[in-house]
Amino acid sequence: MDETAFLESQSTVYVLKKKSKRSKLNPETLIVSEEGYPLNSKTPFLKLLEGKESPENAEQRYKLYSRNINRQQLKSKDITQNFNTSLLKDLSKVINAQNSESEIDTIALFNKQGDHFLDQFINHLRQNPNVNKIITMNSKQCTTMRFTIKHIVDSIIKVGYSTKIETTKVKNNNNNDSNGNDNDEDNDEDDEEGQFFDKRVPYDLDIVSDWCQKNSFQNNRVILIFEDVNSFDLKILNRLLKFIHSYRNRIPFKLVFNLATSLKVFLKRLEHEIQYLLNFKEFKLDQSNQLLNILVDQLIISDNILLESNLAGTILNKFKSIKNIDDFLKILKFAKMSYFFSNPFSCDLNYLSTEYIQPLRTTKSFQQYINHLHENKEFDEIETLLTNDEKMNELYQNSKVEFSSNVENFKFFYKFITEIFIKYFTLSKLKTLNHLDIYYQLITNDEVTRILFINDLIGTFKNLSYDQLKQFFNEMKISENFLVNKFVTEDLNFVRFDQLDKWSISESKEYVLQHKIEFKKLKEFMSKKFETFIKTSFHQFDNLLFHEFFLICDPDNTIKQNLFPSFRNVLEQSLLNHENYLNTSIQTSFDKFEQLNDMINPILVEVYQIFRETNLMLNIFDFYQSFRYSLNSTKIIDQFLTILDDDEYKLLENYLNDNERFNFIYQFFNDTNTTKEEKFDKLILVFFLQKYFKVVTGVCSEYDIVNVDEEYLLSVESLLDNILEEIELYNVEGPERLVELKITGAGVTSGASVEYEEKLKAEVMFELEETNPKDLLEALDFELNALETVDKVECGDEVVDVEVKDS
Amino acid sequence: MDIGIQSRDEQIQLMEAFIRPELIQAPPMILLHGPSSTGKSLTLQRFLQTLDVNHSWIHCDECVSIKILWKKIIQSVITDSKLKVGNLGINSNASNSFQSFVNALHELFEEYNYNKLHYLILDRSDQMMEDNDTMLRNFMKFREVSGLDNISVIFIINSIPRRLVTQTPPQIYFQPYSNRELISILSKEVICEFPTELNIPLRTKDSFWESYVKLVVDSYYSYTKNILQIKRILIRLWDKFIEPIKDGQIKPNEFLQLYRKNYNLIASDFGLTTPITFTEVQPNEEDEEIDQEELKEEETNSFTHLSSLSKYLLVAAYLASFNDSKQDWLYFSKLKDVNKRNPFMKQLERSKRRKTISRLMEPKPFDLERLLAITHAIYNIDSAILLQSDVDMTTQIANLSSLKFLVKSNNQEYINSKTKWKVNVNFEDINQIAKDINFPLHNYLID
Repeated sequence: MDETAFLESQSTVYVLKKKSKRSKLNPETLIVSEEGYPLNSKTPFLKLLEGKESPENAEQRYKLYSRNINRQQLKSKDITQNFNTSLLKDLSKVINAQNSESEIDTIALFNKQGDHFLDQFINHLRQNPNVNKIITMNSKQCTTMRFTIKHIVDSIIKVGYSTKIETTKVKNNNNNDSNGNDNDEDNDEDDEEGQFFDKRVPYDLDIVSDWCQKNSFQNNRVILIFEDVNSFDLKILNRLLKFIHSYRNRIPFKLVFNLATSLKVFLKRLEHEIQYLLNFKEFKLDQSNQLLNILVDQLIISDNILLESNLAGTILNKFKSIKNIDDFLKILKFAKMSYFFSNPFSCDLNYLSTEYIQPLRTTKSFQQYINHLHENKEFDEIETLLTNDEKMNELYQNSKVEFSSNVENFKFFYKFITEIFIKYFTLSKLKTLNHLDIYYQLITNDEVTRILFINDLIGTFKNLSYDQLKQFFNEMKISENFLVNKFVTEDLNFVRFDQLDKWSISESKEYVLQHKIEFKKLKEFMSKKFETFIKTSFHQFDNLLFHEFFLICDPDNTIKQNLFPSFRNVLEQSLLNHENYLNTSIQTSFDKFEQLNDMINPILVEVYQIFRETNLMLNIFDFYQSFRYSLNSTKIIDQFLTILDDDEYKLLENYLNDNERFNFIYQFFNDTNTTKEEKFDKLILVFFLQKYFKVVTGVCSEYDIVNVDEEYLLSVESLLDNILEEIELYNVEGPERLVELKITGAGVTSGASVEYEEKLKAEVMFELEETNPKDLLEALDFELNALETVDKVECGDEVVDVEVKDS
Repeated sequence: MDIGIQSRDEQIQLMEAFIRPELIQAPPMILLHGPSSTGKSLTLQRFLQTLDVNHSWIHCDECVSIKILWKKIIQSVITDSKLKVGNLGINSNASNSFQSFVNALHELFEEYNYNKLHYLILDRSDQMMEDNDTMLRNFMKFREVSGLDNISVIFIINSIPRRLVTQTPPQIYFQPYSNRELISILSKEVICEFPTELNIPLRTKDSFWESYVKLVVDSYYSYTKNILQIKRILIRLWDKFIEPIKDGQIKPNEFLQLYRKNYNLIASDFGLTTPITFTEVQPNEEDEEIDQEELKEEETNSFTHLSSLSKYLLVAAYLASFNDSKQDWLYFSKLKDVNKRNPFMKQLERSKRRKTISRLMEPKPFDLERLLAITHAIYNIDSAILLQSDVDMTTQIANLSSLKFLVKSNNQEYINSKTKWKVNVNFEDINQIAKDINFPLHNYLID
């Protein structure tokens, strides 16, 4: 054990555990987010529409959601499991091949698809008759060499010794105590376990090699799969590989590295010597785009409810950034859950009762519709719609039908693009698009993007050569796509290629020219038709009435915020609502700590709350003043002292033995010369200085120095600059300044007997305006870290530092 | 004595002097040391075979702990001493402690009345995974400690461990092979063969091999003296080297011309790289064209798998590690009133005058906040899109750290809860990443 590890093991760590706040919801009284009431049954969904939704409908929404998700899971599993068959064959070839004499075959899987492939691979291996044992290794299991080898041995030879160990261990411990044996526990364990492996230690690879000899596998393989080889401790990995290599003739090893970087990058981390021991076969697995295409076709398009454009854009961006299929599926699932959970219209409603009508009238699309009617001066219609629920019902049902027919049209159009037209994308810049891209760009409400995309489509069409056009036309003709058929039979029914064909193969120059002219004409004609076809085949979803209810959408960015919450928001929210993190219950109990907690929030939270109400330009001294007077001084100090004096806790008595704490804390609190007020002042100043800088830097560091408005920037930057200058000043003038401040400001040592009030003000004014808080804080932190413990005891804890280490 | 090993005459003579077949003349301990692959094990092996004396060979690098070493010693002593021990399984307590191990040996020797000289060879004794010190302590004075007078320990080791420096056992040093010795050893045996269909006469083959070995050894001798490594280089270069002969452009006896043609091959680091068989999976034939283009891209850039945010984070981490934090405002602030801060400019100039290039030094640790600030500052400089800092960012940092691109250093200060980080990617790779995201890295580095 090296020094740091030892220090780490010795330090005290406080971990705050929040008591479960999940109390039973009372369906009668409880309202969630002023919107829904919980159901009586076990269904986790709520009765929406302020509880007026019928429980049956809520149940049905839940059922629909579960059904949808089940379908998604089954389908996605099916798709991903059957996706990489050719790769699996290649992998099996390597597995089946014999190792060369001096090297071990190593499959380096550069896996960009996510974890599911590894499962698929392992399943595939299980079916391989040559494969005898598959061992998966995780960096978390393999923290030391012994554990690693023990893991290998254990998984090859599954001796049921684990139960026996329990009993022997107890005996062993007894022996240990009586003999005063100074062997560590680890060793004893080894001995006992050893008896089950022919009296050998459990991390002896000879056990495996003997086992291999006994069972005489000629063609069998022992496959070691490193699940996350990038996270392995390199020292252990290097040694392990060397070790395994030395057993290569006795145990038929094959290694599989599941890499997250390319092999080249990984090899830079591996020792040169080791690289020569392995025979690398790299397989790149990057078909996430193809896989995504299939998933989009099968999961999103084939579903009854489509994704709204903004949400599709969010998912698309996320996918482009990390290219992980598992992630994509999870986001999709979350989006669906959010849709069914929050949308009362998500279950199939044939008739709307009154409580449903009002939400309909508040939608944006309905308002637009009314505006539209207003422009056409159909005032009667408007009035009936706003007053008559029956009319609204009718309107809703009509728009539902209209919407679904539009969705059908869209699906046909999408299929046309992805099945037929996409083959000609290779000619243009569209070739890099995946299906989600196409989906997004077709329905986006960003006009520029959509028009650009449609122009690209038309441009692609215009660039088709004669043969391509002919092929395209024929494909459209035989297509089973309803929309395309209609287009071909109605608009292009008279187009014939027979004559053009004849001209094109003719040798006469005249005819060839004729062919060119005619082809150009035909293409122009078809382009126009094609353009109208693209533009009219379906309406934009966002223009349709009540589209908000028929698409999976993310109106309040809840999905975005839940999946990718902004850092700053989380931080601020947790600072404001520290109860979410710290279990400071409001009901006053008899516990004195609880009472204290009731009086004062964690200091950091208190400081932050003042900070939030001011701006950074506030003078630090004013800041301190407002902080100090925001607290109920007499109550707090009284409670504080009672806790310290309490016989039950004996906090102060414990400090008698500790020299430093005695000097700093015990004497301070037992000093009869200082009044309670003064004690409180001193304490609060210390607390304030400790937390102030944390708040300022913590909040500022979220911003960079550049991208903030000018005023803010100047203040932050000058603050930071001050720090740099001050550190240099400090170096010149020496620490006296700070020590002086410590004496007067903190007043914990005997130096506090001078006219405290005046001096404090002067010093603090002087120091805080001239100095910067960082130095001050650091010095104080070092000198008075003992107070940190008081802080801890007294204030529950702070939000950010969940671990407080005792020094 | 000729045991068929070249250039090791002096060592063999020394062995003859020290490693004696009689019990009285055998020293309690001998030390064979020298850099790796200088023929220590091979020479000793051959020598002991001719000597006809009982010996047990233990590969220490295969022992995870001292217990396994003890177990292996007992096992191989039993087999090598040719005692007819019925039960090969050892007493369960034999590898509990050193004392019980010695007792087990005592019992064994007494029971079978074995008092012949037995050499115990601890090969690669500095490469045991754990308990290396214990091992040395145990076997350094094994005869004295154990009282087993018929066992002599031979250590084979790369360099003399500190513990043994003050001891004066007989030492036999195996110096690295010289240039000439390497050539003569390697050219003796032809490792790589021409394809048979070329029908090259045996004599030409031999002379060709000799000149090939000479060329490679001369070119790489300054890089490595390790005979195994040179062998690997020979094999690695061979196929590419003889390509012109295979194509029929050059005849095998025109070696100089061939060398001229292959000059770039020898000069490049191709011989030192690890061979990798590469397979790209292509299920759809239609996409072949695209894939190949991508493949080319991937070959030149091995970081394409990272997301763009990760790339920015890495570049920022590099800047944070190799730039001084005092100059951050100069590079990353939009304020241009440089004159206002004269002292800092002076400092900057002073630091520029310093000759050491910080790139060659170890990366300096930085605060996480600083990394974030720099990332915000450099993110999409051209388009001025603000970076949204959400949870994704912290996830990316965690990912980079699990990929070991960022390293978290141990924080020993308990009061200051900030973590310190370091970048673990070299300049070439960062440069590549910076090019990938169109980031002018050089404008932001001090040197």
